[in-house]
Amino acid sequence: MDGCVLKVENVVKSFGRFRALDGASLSIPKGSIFGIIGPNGAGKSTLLRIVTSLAHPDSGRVMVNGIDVEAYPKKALVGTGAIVDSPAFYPDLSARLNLDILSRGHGKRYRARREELAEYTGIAAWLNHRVREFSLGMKQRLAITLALLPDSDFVILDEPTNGLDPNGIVDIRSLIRNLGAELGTTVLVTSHMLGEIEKICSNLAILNHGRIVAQGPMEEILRRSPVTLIRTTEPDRAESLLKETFGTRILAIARKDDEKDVLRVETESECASELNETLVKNGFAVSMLENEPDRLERIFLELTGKESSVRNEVKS
Amino acid sequence: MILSIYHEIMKMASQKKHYIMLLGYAFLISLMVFVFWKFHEDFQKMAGEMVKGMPFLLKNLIQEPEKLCDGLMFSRFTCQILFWVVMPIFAFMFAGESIACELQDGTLRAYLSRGFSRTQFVIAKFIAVFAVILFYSMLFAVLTLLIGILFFGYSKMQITLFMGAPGEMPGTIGLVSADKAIGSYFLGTLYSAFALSAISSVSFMISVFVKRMTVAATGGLVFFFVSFILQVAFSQYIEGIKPFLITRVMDGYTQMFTVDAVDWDSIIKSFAVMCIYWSVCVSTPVVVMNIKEY
Repeated sequence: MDGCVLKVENVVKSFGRFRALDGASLSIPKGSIFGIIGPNGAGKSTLLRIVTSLAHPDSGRVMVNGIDVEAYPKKALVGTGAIVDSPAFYPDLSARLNLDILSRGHGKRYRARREELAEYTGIAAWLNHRVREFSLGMKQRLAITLALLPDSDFVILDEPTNGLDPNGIVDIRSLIRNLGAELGTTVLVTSHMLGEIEKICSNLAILNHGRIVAQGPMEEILRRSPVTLIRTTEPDRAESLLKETFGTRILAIARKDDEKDVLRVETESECASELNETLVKNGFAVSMLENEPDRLERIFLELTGKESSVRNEVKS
Repeated sequence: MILSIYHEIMKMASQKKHYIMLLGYAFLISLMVFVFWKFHEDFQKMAGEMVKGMPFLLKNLIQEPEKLCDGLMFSRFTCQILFWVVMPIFAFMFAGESIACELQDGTLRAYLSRGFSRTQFVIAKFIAVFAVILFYSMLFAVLTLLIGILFFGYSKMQITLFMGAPGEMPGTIGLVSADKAIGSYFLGTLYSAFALSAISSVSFMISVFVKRMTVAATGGLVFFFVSFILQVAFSQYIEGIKPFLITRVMDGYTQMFTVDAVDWDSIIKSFAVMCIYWSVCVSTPVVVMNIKEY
């Protein structure tokens, strides 16, 4: 299985005339924290539902730990814990009983692991409380505990920070990061919050119109056409010099809209230090040189097209 | 499977509608005690009149006819209303919400995303519904009997009044011993629990198609009332399908109270009809659950 926990191959899924997934393919390496982002209607939820055997693909194949989910769902998903959509529990039952029911765990070893994981996720003191009393943040923690039970090494979390306050977001973020680092769990996360995905994930896939338009390690994706911001005293002359020196390596260069003394240089690969060296050698005073923030957002918008981002804004 | 059934029973046990059910029962029993108390003398007179019409040998067995109107008769009378009016409503509610409610709350998706057997899920749910119905039937039967004896006493001989389905008087008014009447009372309760599980299976089946438990419960109730109306008002036009009507299955209760011996032949026929309901209304959700996407 090439060290991959999940392999999705050319999955197609249609609802009537609408094609939710149009030949989506991706591989999730073992031990990674893999993020999937995409605009509304891109097919994220459909993909997760197919991976967790809640829906059936029209064609294509989904393998979890080398086992076909469609053919052997129980066997394939035995080590997989998934929270698809918002975390749902039986409100009038205790958190402990919810974990037992939804994971179908039993036995001495299971109980020990349940307590251990509850301690780890910070809900140990709340296990006897009814879920009705839980805040959304607590429910997310409980959902993560559930996903890890009884013995999951692959966890799927759909929008885990949705609806949380900033403190909750930070808590859940560090919890997810630790899952990979400390427990060696492979995590698949979907989110609309690009900043969160950028901070949490080691690998990323961008889904648009049912197709994976980019995937790979986060660093590699962020290195795509990096943008450097340079503040200099003579931006016009600096622009000409950089164009002349770097030629086709510069994909676009322009003044920043809100700060006219700042040049926004988009290059085909990371070359901030070379840009700085060239300017300084030619006598330019460079008072600021940095990578443009929200890189993921820019890449996302580029890959999914402005049309879809505008559509999302209208929807939201 | 045992673990699944245990989990399903735990889920059902946590629901708030148990309070409603117990309140409903408390209200009914209070009302029945009041009515029985208020019209006690009339009932006693009626029992006396019935004894007068009995053959000499039977009549001889009764020293004080008014004592026939006792706690056992009260419990039989109350259980008729309980099993024909109150329990079906609760049975439809429990069965109707079993799958629909999980679908509505999203817990079904959380459960199925583990790849667990959907067939086992449906069967465990249905067995849990039956277990809850059986538990409440027995609980209410015992409570009603105790309350009846506490308020209205206990007679060694029992007249075969209220030993049939509602509106259906026994062919001949006779006498049975209290032991036999109590035995038949609990056999009747057990039978009613099975019959209720068969009628509630209609709601159970609907619940797999809809997201709202009210729709599933109402669907079952409508089916029940249509069956009742057909049986009562259009009896002569539906001779062919009459044995298969769901309300007809409930009538099997009457067979437990026959004076001479329990009519097992008739009961087996009723169980056969129940089996048809169980198989159709449980296998349909099994098939649908295995095909449906969530």
